[in-house]
Amino acid sequence: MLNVTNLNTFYGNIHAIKDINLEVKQGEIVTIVGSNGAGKTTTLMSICGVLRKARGSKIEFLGEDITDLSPCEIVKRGISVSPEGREIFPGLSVSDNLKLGAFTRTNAAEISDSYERVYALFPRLKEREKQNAGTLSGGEQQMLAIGRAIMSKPKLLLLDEPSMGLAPNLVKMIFKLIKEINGQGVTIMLVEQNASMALKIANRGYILETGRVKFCDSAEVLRTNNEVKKAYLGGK
Amino acid sequence: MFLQQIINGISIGLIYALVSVGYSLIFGVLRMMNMAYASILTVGAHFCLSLVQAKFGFFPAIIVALVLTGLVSVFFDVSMLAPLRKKTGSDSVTVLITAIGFNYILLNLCLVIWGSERKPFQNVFDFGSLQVGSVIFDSSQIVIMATALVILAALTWVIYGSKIGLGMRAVQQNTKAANLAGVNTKVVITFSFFISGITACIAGFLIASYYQLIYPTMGVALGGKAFAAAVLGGIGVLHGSVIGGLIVGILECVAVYFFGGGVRDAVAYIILILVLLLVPSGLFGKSENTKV
Amino acid sequence: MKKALSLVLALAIALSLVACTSTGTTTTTTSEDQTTATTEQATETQNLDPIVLGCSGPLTGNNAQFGENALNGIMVAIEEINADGGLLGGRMLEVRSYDDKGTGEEGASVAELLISDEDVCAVPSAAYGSSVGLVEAPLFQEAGLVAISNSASHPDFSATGDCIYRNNLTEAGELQYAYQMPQVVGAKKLGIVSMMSEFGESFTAGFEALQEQYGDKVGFEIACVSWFTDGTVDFAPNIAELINAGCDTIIFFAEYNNFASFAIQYRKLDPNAQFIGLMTCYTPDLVNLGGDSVEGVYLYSCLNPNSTNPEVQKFVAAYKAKYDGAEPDFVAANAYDSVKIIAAAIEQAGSADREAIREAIKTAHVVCTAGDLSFDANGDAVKSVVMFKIENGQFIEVEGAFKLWDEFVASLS
Repeated sequence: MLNVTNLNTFYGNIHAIKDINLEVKQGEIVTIVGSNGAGKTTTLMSICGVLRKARGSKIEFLGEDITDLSPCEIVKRGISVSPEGREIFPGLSVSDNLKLGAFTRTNAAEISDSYERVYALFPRLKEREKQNAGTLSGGEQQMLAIGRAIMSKPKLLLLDEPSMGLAPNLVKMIFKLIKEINGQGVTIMLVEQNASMALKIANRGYILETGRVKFCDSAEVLRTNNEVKKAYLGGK
Repeated sequence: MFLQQIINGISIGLIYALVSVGYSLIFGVLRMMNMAYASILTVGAHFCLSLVQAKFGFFPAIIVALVLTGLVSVFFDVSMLAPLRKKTGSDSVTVLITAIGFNYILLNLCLVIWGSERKPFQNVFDFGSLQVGSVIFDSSQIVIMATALVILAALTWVIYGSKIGLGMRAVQQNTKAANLAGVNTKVVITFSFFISGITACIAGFLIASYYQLIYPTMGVALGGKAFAAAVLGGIGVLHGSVIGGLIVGILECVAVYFFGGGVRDAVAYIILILVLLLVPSGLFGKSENTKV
Repeated sequence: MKKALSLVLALAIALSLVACTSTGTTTTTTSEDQTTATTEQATETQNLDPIVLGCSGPLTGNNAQFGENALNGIMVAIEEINADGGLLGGRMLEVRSYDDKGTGEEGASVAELLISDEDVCAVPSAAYGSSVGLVEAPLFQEAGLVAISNSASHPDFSATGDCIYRNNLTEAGELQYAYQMPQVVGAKKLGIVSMMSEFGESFTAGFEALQEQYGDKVGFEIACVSWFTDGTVDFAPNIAELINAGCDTIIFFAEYNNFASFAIQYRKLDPNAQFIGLMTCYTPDLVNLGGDSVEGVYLYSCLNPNSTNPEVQKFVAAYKAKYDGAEPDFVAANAYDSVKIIAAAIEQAGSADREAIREAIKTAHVVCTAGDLSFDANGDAVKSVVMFKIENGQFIEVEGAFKLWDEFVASLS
């Protein structure tokens, strides 16, 4: 479904992403784990068109080259992202935030279906529909960010650190919901620092270190790899 | 007499409101002070003058002038501001200076093309005047108030009721997230410049036809006061600009009532400074750290 | 695409810069006719140096019309003199004109330019108005360059020294006519509208002083004095003040462009009040701008274009022929006369040196639009004044309206 080959990304003179290759297949949950600054978010932002890629990088989605498309064109093709730090619109109402997720869509009936779907997944958002998003709690804001991403009816959903800053029970709940969304047929690419949780629900995983792919294997194999255990799973 | 000054204040205040909304529109989307706005207004009024003189029908002429002014505003963004936004190292000062520069370029082009002298402009709204008690309503005053209210209502609908308006508000709140949600920020910015240009042209046209005069420096004093009104109301907030404009207009006329015509121009700035000392973000302004 | 855009931008900037310099700084105005006259003459009288006159005036900005009219008046005089064979046995006249934009800063630098230009022998038209004129006057005086203002009315202007002359009414002189106006038009409650400027404030004070002295004898009272600042477009607060005071007649102490705006806005609310304008409102542009709203306005001027005086007729005809039928105003006529009297001084001195002109002009006199023109010991010209009323867009003379001041005062008691 998604093929990333020889991805190189620079921040000014800093070479942040070095020759990354990765693949996501239809229906999978693929996770990218790694420590702070390993290049996880940069990889994600490169895929969704916010960052410009170095020459030679290639990103293909459903057979189409999307390397140089703008973010809104990429959203139209079926990739949406729930960004790191949630990046909601604090001064807009919850329902306006969701409406923005469907900005690229025009069919009113389909959009209202998506609302239903999001509210079914996150009943809390329905309750707070009219409230300004800035007044929501951290967990609710995370739900809103994911809900907004779903509103574009994506084929591939990119989730950046959905567990960041949340209490353990909320983290569990979010991961359960991710699994549920995946079960509804949405392919998911999950970027996480919480590697043990991520590898539990993922089919496959990539482990990034200083902008390179260090390991790439099925989640099961990675979970049992000693080096991975030591570095990312707390040595257990 | 006092009531009359209030009515005068509301009518001039609505003109200030119309102009100050233009500042707010662009500030809302780009966090920049569009200091070229006063000149865009002047150019718009001159477009109206030339096109109406071309005699292919009054309303078609005004519509062409509106579109042309919108395009001048878009040209400013596309040719100067957009390249600056792409460059790393250009900050708000760079943008501000560019806007001030473009303001002078436009002002100068106006001088070259249309000359510096005051030129007569027809008053299309003159249907006599109406006296209610001791207050006299001049018909063009009424038309100006009505037009300004309609335009302000239309702008409010665009921003709060339409899809592109939702995009504008999203860009204003969080450009990056808007981008990720699939909002084409370039289109939103271009659209904002276009409607701010159109608003400028309408304001220019109303002013020219109310005072029956057009000249290249017509935007200077007006732009300054409208900008003060925008900051007063909390720049970037639409209804804040409207109320800011009304406050400046009314207090200005009331000040003339109490202190005579000499103090008039200082009034807008005195109120502005007083309000900012008490509420630094303006009456309806939100402080910048509402972002989570 | 980006390159094309930046090219367009660069062009726009370049264009506006060029425009800046051409309207902003300097133009040596030599009309085509004049150039041909010079060449024809040159074949007869071997390369005589031209005599160069200087001119400072607002060619851009709010008072641009006055600067342009003064320059036009000078051009008409120069062409007339050159066509008659020039001065001093065939030397042609030329003018160097600079735009002072009606500001003191620019006025000072224009004065310096004219002073440092050794070709310039006299300045028949210094800056428009008293404010800028008073900046330029000491500079010209110090340099020993004769300069005449065709519009300054401030008493201090000609008092600067023996190089500085006024070919216009003094303020005191103008006040004597302005004060007669409300009495002539039968005002009861007079409203004064005045700009906060050197002229406006001193003229208002002068007018009020006259009212103090004669107020119990004239038929009108001053019901309201309403002020505005330069650049005002919205007169609504002033108008509310005036209407509230019950004024039946308004006298306006500022230039025609402000007066036109004011009249348009006032007429919408009160179509019946009488308007009185000063000499600076006597220009066809008042009618162009003000349209129907300035119908019936009373004003006065040193120049009556319809006068039977042959000098006036000659000037008006030449002016209209040269400027597409445009009517000259008092500034144009004064500037024309100023060139004439400088020419007379040059002939009288037999030289176009600055110093020679400085001596000769004290006694020079010439027959021109203002009659037999000469300057008194203060450096002021004596001018007569005619009253007009605007009817159907034309300035129609109101005959016998004004009295000499002493007669007017005598008629009151």
